Amino acid sequence: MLPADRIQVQIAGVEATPVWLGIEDHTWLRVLIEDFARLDGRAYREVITFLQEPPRLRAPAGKRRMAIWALLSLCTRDPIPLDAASLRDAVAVEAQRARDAGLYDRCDVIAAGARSLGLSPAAADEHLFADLPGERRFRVPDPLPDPQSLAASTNLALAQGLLRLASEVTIEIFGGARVVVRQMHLRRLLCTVRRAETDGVRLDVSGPFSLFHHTTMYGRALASILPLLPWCERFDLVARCMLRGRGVSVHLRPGDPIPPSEPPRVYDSRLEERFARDFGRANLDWDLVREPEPIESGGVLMFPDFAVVHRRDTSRRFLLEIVGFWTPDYLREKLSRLHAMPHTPLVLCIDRGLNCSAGELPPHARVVWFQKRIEPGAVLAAIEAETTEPAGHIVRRTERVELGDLFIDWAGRRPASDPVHRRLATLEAGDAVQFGRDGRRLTIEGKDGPIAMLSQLGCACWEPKLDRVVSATLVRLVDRQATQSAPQWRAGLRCERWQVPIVDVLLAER
Amino acid sequence: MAREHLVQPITCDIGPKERTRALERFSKGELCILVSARVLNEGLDVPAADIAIMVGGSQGSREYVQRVGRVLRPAQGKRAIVYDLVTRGTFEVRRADKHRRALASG
Repeated sequence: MLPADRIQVQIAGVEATPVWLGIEDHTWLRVLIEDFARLDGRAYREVITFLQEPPRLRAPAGKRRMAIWALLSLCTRDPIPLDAASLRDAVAVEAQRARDAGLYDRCDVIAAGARSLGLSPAAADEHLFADLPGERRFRVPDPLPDPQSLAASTNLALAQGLLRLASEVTIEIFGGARVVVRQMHLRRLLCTVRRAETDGVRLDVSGPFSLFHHTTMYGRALASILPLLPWCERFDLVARCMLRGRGVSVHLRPGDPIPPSEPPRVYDSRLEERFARDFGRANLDWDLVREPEPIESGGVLMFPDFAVVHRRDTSRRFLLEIVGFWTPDYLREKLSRLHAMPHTPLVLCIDRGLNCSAGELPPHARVVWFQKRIEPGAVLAAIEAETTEPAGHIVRRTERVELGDLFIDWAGRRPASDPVHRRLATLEAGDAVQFGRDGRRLTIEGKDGPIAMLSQLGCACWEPKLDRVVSATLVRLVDRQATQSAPQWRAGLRCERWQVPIVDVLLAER
Repeated sequence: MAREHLVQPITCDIGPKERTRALERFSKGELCILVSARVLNEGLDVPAADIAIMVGGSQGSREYVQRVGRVLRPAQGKRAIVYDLVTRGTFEVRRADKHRRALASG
């Protein structure tokens, strides 16, 4: 992370744009790297003096200072070979005695001091100040980075340095959010995960500047997220920073030269990896999908470990959550979130060692107990029991009323003062809703009245299923704006913004 | 200077343990010379010192008074001498005069 005084940005209004190192800087970077090679083995004070002198090849001063910092952070200093403080003490006392006796000779004094510590005079003279920062021997990395990788590490340090100055960071991720969310949790960052207004995941993270303590430690933890972002399909990061005494916004986007980290691990643990391998071998009818769509519960997004989907009937879909080596508190929190999703078909794999009593489990969840290894056969048995129970028993399945099933502009054709908007505003994910009827059209109704109307296509699809509806639950509300509607429909709209509910319906089949 | 004349240094890079040991030896008379860069300007009393040689000019009158104050700590029968090295024909001469006046005015 670059320190604040080295950070280079161009500020225009309230926007700050980082000054990245690019291909145009490679020539002077190469000269700088060559200079560093010459400094190997020198005292650190000599290195600093050398670097403060004008460069051999003209380079943008701010960029050069950033690159020097990045290179210095790759270098090391030799370990201290002896107890130099004791040596200095012995030599100073010897020198004083010699002066008092009128027999001061530098070589003799060094030799006497060295003798008292069992050293050779030459070694004592060489290492008399070896422990002081400026005297430590400077070592460059072997091999030295090439200009391209130096530019990349400087750019990363610049972006990370900016994050350290942030009071608030918002990241919108489209595709592959799980790895970032996982890292956020591992590093214990103050973060909330929500669904973005567009089809993505939004992370709101507190920045180090919003804290009073541990700001550097927190800043480092936050900075560790950055190299993971290039692995997402698309991201948009906005950091609100204090730079040069003023608040500015810094945007980081996929085109920015932030080098990616090592490829993130596909599986969170070896347990998951082994289960995925075993499950694939054990059957051909069900597919195990890694990182399925996040699910919303009480305004918070959860990222299930797997989805189990039938190859020929994709409506037969289960989420699979592995509860491995976690604390009881974590398990309790997780279970409370799962309780809030009564109609999510879910298979929970729980480590026996956790000793979680049956009363704590969500009643609709299938549980597979395991010890060290999850048996694919047990998971398959739990799924099959849910979907292919003997004739006469009720089999349940969840289907979703998607945007395509709805008359999307229905609420938009009502003025902002219409009660439908108030009804929608009071709803939350997890609330029970039901089907209703308005003439020949089907509607979705909340406690106080209709909140959405199905399209003709939606009515045709859902009408035959109405007698099998067990319950319906609001999953989320999608924001809709007048500008999103086709021009020919806009004339009929009577408000600028409205909401459209997405509903999960539990169906019974006999 | 410390390397060339084998004198105990007290600088910002010297740890507190070593500083304390050096000052103790100085008080006992086991060491008669210390070389310091700014660290001894303030906060430390060195009543055993009776000669100060200021090689680098202090920046302001306050810093000068503080430095001189290190060796002007009262002790029985003490007579202290302060040498302020300046380069003839430079602004250092005028600055040293100004500092001396500040010291005299208290």
